[in-house]
Amino acid sequence: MPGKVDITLIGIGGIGCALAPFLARYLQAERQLTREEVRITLVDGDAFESKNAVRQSFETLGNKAKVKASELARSFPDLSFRAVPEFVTAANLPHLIKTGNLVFLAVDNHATRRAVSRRCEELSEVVLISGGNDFTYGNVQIYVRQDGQDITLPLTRFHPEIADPKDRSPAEMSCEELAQEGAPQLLFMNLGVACAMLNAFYAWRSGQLRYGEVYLDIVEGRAQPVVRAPRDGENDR
Amino acid sequence: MSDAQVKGVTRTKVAGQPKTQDQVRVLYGVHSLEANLSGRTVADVRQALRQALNISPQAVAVVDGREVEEGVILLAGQQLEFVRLAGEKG
Repeated sequence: MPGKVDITLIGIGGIGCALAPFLARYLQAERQLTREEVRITLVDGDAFESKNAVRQSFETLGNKAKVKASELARSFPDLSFRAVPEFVTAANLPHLIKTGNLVFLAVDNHATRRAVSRRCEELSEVVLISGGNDFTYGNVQIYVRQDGQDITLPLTRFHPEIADPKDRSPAEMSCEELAQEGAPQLLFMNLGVACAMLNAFYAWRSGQLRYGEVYLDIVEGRAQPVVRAPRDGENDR
Repeated sequence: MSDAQVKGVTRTKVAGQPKTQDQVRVLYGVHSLEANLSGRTVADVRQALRQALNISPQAVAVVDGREVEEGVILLAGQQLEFVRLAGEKG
């Protein structure tokens, strides 16, 4: 009997916009073989504005999750899309991420990364693929839990900047603060991280995932995968 | 170890144990190098490579997958990673 694939994409900015159509294209093609039901939930409380067009592609102005879900639904009719026009909060996380989900996290702040990672730590089965970048450097972390055990490490492990973030979730920021946000970013770095997230997805889905984090530097032209496995006793938390 | 030597030996490799058992592999972000660092402390290596690799003072030191203190003495065949801070934006 065909199964069900339930994917949540949180953050439809530079990385999320680059990732979403290729993920959908891959899953639609795969679905023709597997007949699996595929549902993709897009989550973002932000609105697309023309100034975002340097790195992001939307057909119309409006909430990013709603606009992108509508675009994808037209292009990939075999898949099911749902939009949640909200930023991640402690209140909505239990509804957004449930056991069995595959989560792509493409946000622009460590506070949300910590919240999502901690939510995943509560679940028995989940895959979280998180990407972030600075200008020409980026990284992807893959947190896998199976049968209530960590297979790879949560995002906060070895990353004090995520475990104790200095930034805030956009849900906690005023409109003025949100308008002022935005260190310069490079479209190509967003693309590189999106590609690395999809590569990790493929490696996991095909049973070949051998790393828990990968670093990217587009100026150096290098990628470095690193194992992130729990040590003896770390699953006995 | 000079900056030029560090850059010269930095190559992209899949993270794992060093090829030769008398060496220590050091990772920071996309950079990796192998050198005869056994008997040196984590702090020694951080100091020696800090400028060449631009290692953040915040970067956690991990030896063979376990977080360690700066005073830990490295052994031949080990892998030391200074965990580069995650990219924030997206």
